[in-house]
Amino acid sequence: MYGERDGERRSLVLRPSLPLLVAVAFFFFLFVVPLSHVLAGASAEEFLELVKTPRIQRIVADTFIQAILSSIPSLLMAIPIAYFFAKYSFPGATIIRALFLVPFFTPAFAFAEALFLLFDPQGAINVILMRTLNLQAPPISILYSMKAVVLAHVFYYTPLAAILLEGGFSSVDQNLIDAAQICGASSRKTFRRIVAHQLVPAFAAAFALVFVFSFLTFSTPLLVGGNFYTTELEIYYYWSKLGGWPRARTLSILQLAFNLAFISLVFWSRERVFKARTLGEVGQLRREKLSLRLFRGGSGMIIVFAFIVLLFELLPVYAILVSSVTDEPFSLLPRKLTANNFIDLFRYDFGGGVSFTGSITLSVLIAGFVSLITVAASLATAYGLVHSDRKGRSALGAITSMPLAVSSTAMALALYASYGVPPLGLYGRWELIALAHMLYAFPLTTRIIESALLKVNPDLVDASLTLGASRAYTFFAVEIPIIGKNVFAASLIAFSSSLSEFTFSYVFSVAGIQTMPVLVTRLLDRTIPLLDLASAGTSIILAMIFLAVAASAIVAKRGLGLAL
Amino acid sequence: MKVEAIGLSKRFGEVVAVDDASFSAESSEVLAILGPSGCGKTTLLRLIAGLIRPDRGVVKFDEVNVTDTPPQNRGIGFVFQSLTLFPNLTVEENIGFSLDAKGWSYDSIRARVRELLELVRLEGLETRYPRELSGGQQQRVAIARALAAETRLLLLDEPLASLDVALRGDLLVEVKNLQESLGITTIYVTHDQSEAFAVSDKIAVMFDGKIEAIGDTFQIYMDPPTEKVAKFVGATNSLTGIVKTVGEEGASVGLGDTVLNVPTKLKIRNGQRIKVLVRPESLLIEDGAPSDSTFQGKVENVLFRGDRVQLRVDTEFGLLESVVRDPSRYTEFLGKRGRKVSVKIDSRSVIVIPGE
Repeated sequence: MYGERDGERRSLVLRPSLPLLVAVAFFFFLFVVPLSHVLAGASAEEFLELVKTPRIQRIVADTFIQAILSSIPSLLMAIPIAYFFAKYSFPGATIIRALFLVPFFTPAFAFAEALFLLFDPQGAINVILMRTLNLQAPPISILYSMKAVVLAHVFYYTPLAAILLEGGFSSVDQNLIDAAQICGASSRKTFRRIVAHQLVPAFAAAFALVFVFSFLTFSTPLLVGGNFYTTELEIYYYWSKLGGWPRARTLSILQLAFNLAFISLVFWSRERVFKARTLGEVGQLRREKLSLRLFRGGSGMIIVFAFIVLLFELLPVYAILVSSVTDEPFSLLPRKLTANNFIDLFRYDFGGGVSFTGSITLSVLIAGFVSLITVAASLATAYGLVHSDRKGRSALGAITSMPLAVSSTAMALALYASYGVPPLGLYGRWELIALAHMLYAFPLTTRIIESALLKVNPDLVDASLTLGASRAYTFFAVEIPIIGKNVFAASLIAFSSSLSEFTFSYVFSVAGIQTMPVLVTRLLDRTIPLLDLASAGTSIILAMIFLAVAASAIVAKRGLGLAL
Repeated sequence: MKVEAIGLSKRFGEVVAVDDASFSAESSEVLAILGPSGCGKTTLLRLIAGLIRPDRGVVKFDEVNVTDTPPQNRGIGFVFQSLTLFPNLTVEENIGFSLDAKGWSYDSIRARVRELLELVRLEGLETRYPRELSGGQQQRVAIARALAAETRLLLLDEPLASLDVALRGDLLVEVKNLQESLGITTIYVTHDQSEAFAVSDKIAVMFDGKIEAIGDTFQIYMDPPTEKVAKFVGATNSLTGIVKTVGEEGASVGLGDTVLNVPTKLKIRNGQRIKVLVRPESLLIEDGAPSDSTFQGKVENVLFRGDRVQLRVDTEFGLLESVVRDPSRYTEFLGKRGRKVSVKIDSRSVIVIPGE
């Protein structure tokens, strides 16, 4: 709650020029320079011509519809699960929460693979339905369509929306709920009149983020969209096949403008709806121990629905894990378990001396490097953000989140043009992939650390200063020890996001520099996909992600404190 | 060390937190800044500490302008309302924090910490963490920490506010003794008048960002310069009267049909309207018929407050408050509820202020 206190309180003693300088330099090098390559040379004529093209109009409209269709169910499904985690405590809650977060860090191809395993004509769900309903043909046919893309997005982004909404639910003031109920309000009325508006900021943040991620989707429609195109795919095709860089660049600017306009609209609405109704600091939602008694009435329905959402999220992960330890890839309940798929994966010759063992080493090396540098930069940035005044903080927060709103394909090319070619000449080296991973991990880690720093009681900092400690001494002796767990959690999140990143790793892959997700995709991207080996590879990635996310969740105690 | 604030002003957006505040505290003196919540007293203290920069005005320590000196170089000790003990450090590390920051050797830090622990009577708790201490112990650690390194000025921001009443009384005595034994100039911010009177040599009373009055503690209590200050320091009953006669030692004032002889040195004249401010304990409830020196009222409420009985009486001057420092009379007064009584003013301690 200290974050709600006047930003000026934090900025009065010292204007932190050095951390801000480090943050600005990092951001300039990583984002502004490449972005200038995207923006440079764009013209209004080119822009108008592109906007008038019927194909582009249709693709933008399709992408928008797809993003809305992905966002709304993701948010609706996230509500009960977020409430469940915010309200109830039970043994193993941290691990379950970490398990629930794994899908968000799952590479796109993994869900594509799960879709094959579940919804292919021979897939487990179709087989179960055919047997149960005595049907002759598979009843579900969603592969290679917008439906599959939307389903994949709901799977990916429900956990993300749930983390953000959980933060919102946790900070709902329990005193207000108690007061409303003492005044005779029913649970429904209390939710509608008292709780709902307190959730508006979290809803706005979740909706904006899920929308932007869905709008910028690349690998999901590439793998399971069939003839369904998104703007991001179109940028990729223009760049690689159709008309070259100028058109791809103009389209990516259009996409960026669209995203920024949408985010601004959402946050503007949030301010209009929420600001006038807030009264000072808010308290915390009172937590209850989960027990059978709660399964009666409205709470029971929420808990049951939360379990259903959990199953929905974990079924694809389960399908992949099971498929990796059996010779029957489409079975959810295999009769015999085997380690052959893993043995075969490690023996498989990907050509050019590339092996899965080598890709594990490379992925871990990149992820470790990304985690270290990103967290250092995020510390400097978050420090600068927290010690800015409130308006400055909002503006800087929005700027540092911009990488999430820019086309990955366009940024990949821009990074290539900026640092892939001489003088740095990083193309063909792992460092270029690491740079790209940092760009996308940076907004997340910065938000986590900023959120933690905002919770440090500013009086502690003032106390240290009045005791004669310098600002730097105070930062290292007081603030860092207090937020140390969150810094560690942020580094694990950066590690996980790098480990599972696909787009940049794919675009920058050359012989010998291929991360785990790229190699697994190669197993799938064949006339006859090697599903069993791909499942084994994906299981290894999922296990590594789960360990990192679980460790970060345990260290951070509850949630990840994402403040978006 | 002598502390001076000259014309300090601070605005947060549209809100004027401190408006042209000036005062001084002499060496070894305790100045209490007293005022209601939100009047700007904490902001004023932070301006003195250098935690906030003033929009206007100057802070001087021993005639040296320190307005632009960072807090870490001012030689101050600050005890915050929320105590702000570093949760990740032990008692010993908390107290030695400033010494470590200043590069003292390990042995010197240990020796000084031992000395301070003895001073605040916390020997044996060196290795405990703040969460393992009681509220009173935490308070003592916060004070010891503030005194650790060459402190020339001790700033206390509602230091007892988070403690229960019983503990507050004990610690108030300890703070006073500690300050007297060390002779450090101290500025003590509080909204509690009894705390301010108990601990200070001088009081500044603040309202809405302005210092309304400043002076010797006893003088502020006995002879507050304005009605606002008088009411804040306890003279809550305000009656308007007309001066009948003026003499050497006081004046005769007509309050309705009642005549009251009040001691005052104010320059007043016959026929002038004045305000007579009466403390609840000087408003006496009596049986019997009204006389020249009493007026009639009806008892509206009787509250038992443990060590006293509090009454509200409806009179021709409005609702007046009376306090009887004899709790055994509670039932007696309860029987008078809704009945007419005679009200008498003990004129020895009334405060007279010229009327408008």
